[in-house]
Amino acid sequence: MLEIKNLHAKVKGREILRGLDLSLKAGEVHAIMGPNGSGKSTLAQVLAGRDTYEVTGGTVTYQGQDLLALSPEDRARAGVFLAFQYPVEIPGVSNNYFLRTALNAVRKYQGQEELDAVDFLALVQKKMQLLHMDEALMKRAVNEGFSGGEKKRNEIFQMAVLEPKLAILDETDSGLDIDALKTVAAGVNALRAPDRAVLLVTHYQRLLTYIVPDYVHVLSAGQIVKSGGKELALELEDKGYQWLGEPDLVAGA
Amino acid sequence: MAMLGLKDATTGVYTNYLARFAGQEPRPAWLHALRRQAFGRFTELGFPHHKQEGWRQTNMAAVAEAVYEPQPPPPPARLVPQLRALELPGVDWSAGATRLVFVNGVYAAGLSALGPEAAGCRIGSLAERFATTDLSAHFNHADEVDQAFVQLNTAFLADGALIEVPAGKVLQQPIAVLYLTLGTSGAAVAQGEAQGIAQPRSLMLLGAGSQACVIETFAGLESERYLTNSVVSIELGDNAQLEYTRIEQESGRSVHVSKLRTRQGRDSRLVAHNIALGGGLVRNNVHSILDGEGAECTLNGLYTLTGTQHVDNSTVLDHARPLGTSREYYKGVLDGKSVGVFNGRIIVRPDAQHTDAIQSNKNLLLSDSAATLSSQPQLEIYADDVRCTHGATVGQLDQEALFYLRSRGLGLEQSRKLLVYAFAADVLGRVRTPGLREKLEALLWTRWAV
Repeated sequence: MLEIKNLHAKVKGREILRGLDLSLKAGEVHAIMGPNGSGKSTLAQVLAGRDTYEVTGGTVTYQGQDLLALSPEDRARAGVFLAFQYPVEIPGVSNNYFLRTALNAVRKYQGQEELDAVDFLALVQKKMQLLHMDEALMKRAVNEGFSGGEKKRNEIFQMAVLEPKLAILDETDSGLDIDALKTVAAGVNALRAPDRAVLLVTHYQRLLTYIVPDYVHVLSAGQIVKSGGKELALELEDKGYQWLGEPDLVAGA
Repeated sequence: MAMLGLKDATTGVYTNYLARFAGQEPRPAWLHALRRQAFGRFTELGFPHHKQEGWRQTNMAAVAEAVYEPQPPPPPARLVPQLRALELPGVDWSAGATRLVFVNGVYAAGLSALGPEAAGCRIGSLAERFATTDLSAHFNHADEVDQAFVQLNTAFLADGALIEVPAGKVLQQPIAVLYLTLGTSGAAVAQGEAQGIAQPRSLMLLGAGSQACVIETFAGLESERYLTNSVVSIELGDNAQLEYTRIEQESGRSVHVSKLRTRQGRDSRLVAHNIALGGGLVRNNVHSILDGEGAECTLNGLYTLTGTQHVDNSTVLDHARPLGTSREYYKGVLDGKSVGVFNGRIIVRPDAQHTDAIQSNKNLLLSDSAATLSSQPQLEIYADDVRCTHGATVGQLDQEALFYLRSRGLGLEQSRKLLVYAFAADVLGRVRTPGLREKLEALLWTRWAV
């Protein structure tokens, strides 16, 4: 589903990704772990098409097409979803309008019929139950005045509605208490399907207790330095990132 | 006699319209005296010069040099469909609604209507009232003697909307006023023809404890050239409440000058919205006098500018009595080569202890545009126990928000439109007049359609 080869990317002239290789097949859940500054969020943002990052080398192929050639909106319409580390507040735009417009943009692109207000409401109600969310939220402005936990939950809710093929979760666990973490994990697990792939970007092993990955990769200085099964996450938790020979990039530093 | 000094006061070409002053129809003596006095004052003042305080950022030279004549209205059979074709959120054409329509400042009875609530109030044409009542006290304010455009308006005072609500009366339905100014095509002006002109006057008198919503719309036909010089006087009795919405939808080639003067009694509440959607060169002057203890005044403003539009909002919030509260909230969206000017003056007079005043002016400059904006607060505080704050911002579209919307599948243009709309609609969200907010939002939405 996703094939990243020798990816290099810069931000403000500084090279962050330095030859990253990664391959995801449909149905798989991959976790990318790594210390602060290793390039985890850069990878997530580059895949979603943020233009402040400059791709200087390598290729990204998504479902057979050149992902880097697509605009951010076309990536979303083609089924790529990024759950933001810091979801943006958009005063004046209601969640309801925003999400229905987004869903219909995706559906239209994929040749499906657009949903009217009634069908959309029915869909939303179902997904809200899944994430234990209050319906009043739909009338509120996008993320405006939301707590950190509410914002993260809203990201997963959007994902549940948009049903992407490739979901990238950027530090979705940060700032969540244990109950919120379980809810978010349930939302992600509900989306797991043979035709979907999930890329979890996280600093801590905690999330991986609830969303059990098929593969774990360690990112360091812009490259994947180690890959393994779910047990690798536990090993990292136990030994810290120093274990990988990165004494200056200690977890949490 | 009245023509004396005219050559000095203006550049001379303007005289053909001013010459009409001498030929105005006979009026009641009080009105005649009032006009003569105002005309004399105007000829002394002349048009504001751009080196004059308060006019440095808005040059009216084009007005002083242009030739103006009221343009004869087309027959109703042609005018009515043209009017109906205009999208005017402030005007309700349905049966039962109250609307006062003025064409070139003259009451058009055939286009106007009074709803059931109008009975018991005095709602209609000022001209009719002039015949029986001396209203000079309402048209002759000491604080306006130096304001040339007000004097010019008074010199030609003939008609406009009169809204008089007796004490205690609470009106549920909004009262709509439409001022349509007819103009001249650019081609005709190039060949030396005069531009259109209208100088309407509105007078609103709300008795103690009364409540009303008034919507005034100033409109013209597309790309016509004319000058509208409007003066609105509002007086609120003790405990009275008024929501006043002024929607400016003038032609993009027109000049619009306005003065809104409000005077509030004790514990009265005024909410005034100024929605500037049209006009080529626009200057709005507001002077709100909180002249009773505990009065509350809110001034909301929105200007959305494109092309070479120039819109100047100069407001004065004048706290004259204790315990007054004022909120001023103006927002602008500037595109193209447009120019926005905001001057917000707050005066707290020595007697106005415990004044609470907040002023805010936020602007959105669209990317790649050569638009310019000047925002200037001016606080004059002569009392010691007050709270006055002000803030002004000029920003561009939030790139983070833009990316966020796009990352969910919304197109670039669609995302831009949505963010601009959201920024501007924030002002409209404060409108409480029944049904008006939705119509304004719909108009704003189509305006930013891509």
